[in-house]
Amino acid sequence: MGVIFAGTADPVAVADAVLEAALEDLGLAEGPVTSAVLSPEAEFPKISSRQIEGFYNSPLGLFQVQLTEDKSGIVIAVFDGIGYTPYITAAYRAYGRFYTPSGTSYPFSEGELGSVILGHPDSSDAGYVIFEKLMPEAEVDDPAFAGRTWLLRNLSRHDLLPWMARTIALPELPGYVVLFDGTYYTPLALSDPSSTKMAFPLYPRPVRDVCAGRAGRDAALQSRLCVQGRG
Amino acid sequence: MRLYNHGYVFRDAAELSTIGSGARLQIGSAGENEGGRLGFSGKAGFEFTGPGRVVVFSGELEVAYDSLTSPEREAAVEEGWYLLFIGEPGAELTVTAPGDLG
Repeated sequence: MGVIFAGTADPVAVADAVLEAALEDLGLAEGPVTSAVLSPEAEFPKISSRQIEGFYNSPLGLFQVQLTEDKSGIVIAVFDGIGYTPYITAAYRAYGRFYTPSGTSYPFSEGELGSVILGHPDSSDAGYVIFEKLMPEAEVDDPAFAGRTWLLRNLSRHDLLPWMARTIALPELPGYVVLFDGTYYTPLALSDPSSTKMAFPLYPRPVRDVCAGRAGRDAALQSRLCVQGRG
Repeated sequence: MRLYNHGYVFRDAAELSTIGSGARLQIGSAGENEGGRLGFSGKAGFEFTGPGRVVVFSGELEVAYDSLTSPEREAAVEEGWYLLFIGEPGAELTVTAPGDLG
């Protein structure tokens, strides 16, 4: 769906109206969706370290999230092939969100489908899912994928950038294989000891499934996931 | 083993055959890419049928040659590097080693 404005307009306000209408049509919300956002009185720590700390997948690869030493904020660190380098440090302020000095805020949401950290690049409610929490499983081991090199089987003649990959196994992530494509370290979930699947609990799901769970609904309300046309 | 990521499917490079002088690779009926590890160093020549594409990766997995962006049908290669051949089902690639070139 596209919207064309004649003159100046507020795209976020329009997106809000579209989202609210879509959620109401789906029977997932009644009235203004902004009522679902936490109040400014929501004090830290509403979220326990056990809930938010852990490893996350994102379009930029593998991340680790930890509370700061004084437990007043979070440090989001990116895996660089050797260890985890701090990438974002955000302090808890209000509305259930962690804020960087530049004003970007990161609310945490969890539910039946999984846990996510959203990103709001400005002071508005418009944002999107950036980090999805991984759920390490010791049941499926991954030694078969450790230290291997991979050649594509289905690269198109027209793909602009051909690439190969290496896979590593991390002791802190049982049940996952980490694929390095030359730029990012992407965790892949093992579906069995000899095959992998994508490790995004929320992103690949159809819109109705995403919106049905509590985490998905919260994510949708805060990130506009439902009106981005997934599913 | 099957490795899958965002629509891409991979084969284990440990299972690749060595590509020597005069080696020929043919795309199977499923149209999957073919590949191998180069068994020689020097200048390699590539001749293929149909609208194909040859990519050579270095040992560090960087693209050392891509027929999509290079007008040449030859490239300087090193033993142990990786070759990827993309083409229609039935397409053939012949790799010529330094001793085969005139």
